[in-house]
Amino acid sequence: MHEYMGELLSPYIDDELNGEERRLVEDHIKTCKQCQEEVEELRFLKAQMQSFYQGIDIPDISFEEAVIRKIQTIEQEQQEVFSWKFWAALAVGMCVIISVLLTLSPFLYACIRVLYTLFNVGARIAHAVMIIALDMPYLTGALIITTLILIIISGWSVSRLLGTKTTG
Amino acid sequence: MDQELFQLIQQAKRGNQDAFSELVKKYKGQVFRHAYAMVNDRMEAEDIAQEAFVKAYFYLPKLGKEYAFVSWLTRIVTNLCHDSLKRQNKKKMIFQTENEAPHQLSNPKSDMEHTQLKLTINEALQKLSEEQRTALILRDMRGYSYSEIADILNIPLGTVKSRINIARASLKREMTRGDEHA
Ligand SMILES: [Zn+2]
Repeated sequence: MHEYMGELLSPYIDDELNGEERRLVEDHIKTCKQCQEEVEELRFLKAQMQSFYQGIDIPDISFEEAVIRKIQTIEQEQQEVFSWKFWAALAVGMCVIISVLLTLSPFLYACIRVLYTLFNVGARIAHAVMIIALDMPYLTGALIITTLILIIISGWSVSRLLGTKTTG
Repeated sequence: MDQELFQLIQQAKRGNQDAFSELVKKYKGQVFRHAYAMVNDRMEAEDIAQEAFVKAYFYLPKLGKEYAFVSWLTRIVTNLCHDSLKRQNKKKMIFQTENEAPHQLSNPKSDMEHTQLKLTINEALQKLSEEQRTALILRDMRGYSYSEIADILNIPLGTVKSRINIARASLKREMTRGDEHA
């Protein structure tokens, strides 16, 4: 085989040469027996490749079935993974809420105690005032009278103030 | 691409498994034979071919152009064959380091056998490098043009040409070995 033909003969049998290259090869093999033989051998090799390929037995219908089965298994797994993820997320969420409550519980407990104490104190004061008021009926009367007097005084002073404004 | 095939691909894209099963039936021959020529083992080739279709099913919605389906499928098969061969090589290497001494002892004899036996096309094909074998299978068995092969393997056109050229030269050498002495 001739050196300069080396790279051209293989694409030649594949019909992958441009017009100029193809003419070059065709002209050459007309006169060169060696390269002609090379082309024959390459073509024979190609034919052997093709007949080997055609001779390989193709798997039967169980092949398609196996493919579809595999696809369905994967789809199922994906769904399981999804629901698994859903439950995992839910569990994690619950854990977070519970732990937050647990860490805040001393604070919450203190708040509740303060409120309870305040409420208790208020209730006792009210209770004491009630007892005192019930025990001293005169005080109540005195208080009511004082209040009335104060209301009257303030009412008079307000009208006086308004009066001076309109005349002045 | 004919209308029927286009519709099958579109239906399969939307998750229609009957349509996809039709596609598998249509292309399992090409895919399986390609894998078998690459790995030379029926069981492994069947695994690869099935995995290729399973992958294709789940990635199909991402395939933009329906007409590119077959070469896209071929790219998937090529990648899976590559992974399989890599695994095999790793296994072989572990095996060899474990059995280094006996392997070296038996080597000269098997070399002798080699020079005396003419190889069949399949045996010779397995002697090629993975790159050369892939290129030659895509050309001579699958019938892709050089530019299609360049696209599938993502390599320059010139590299496709030279890989096929070298592959054929070594294949010829392997298959005619010992002829001169016979
Ligand atoms: Zn010549």
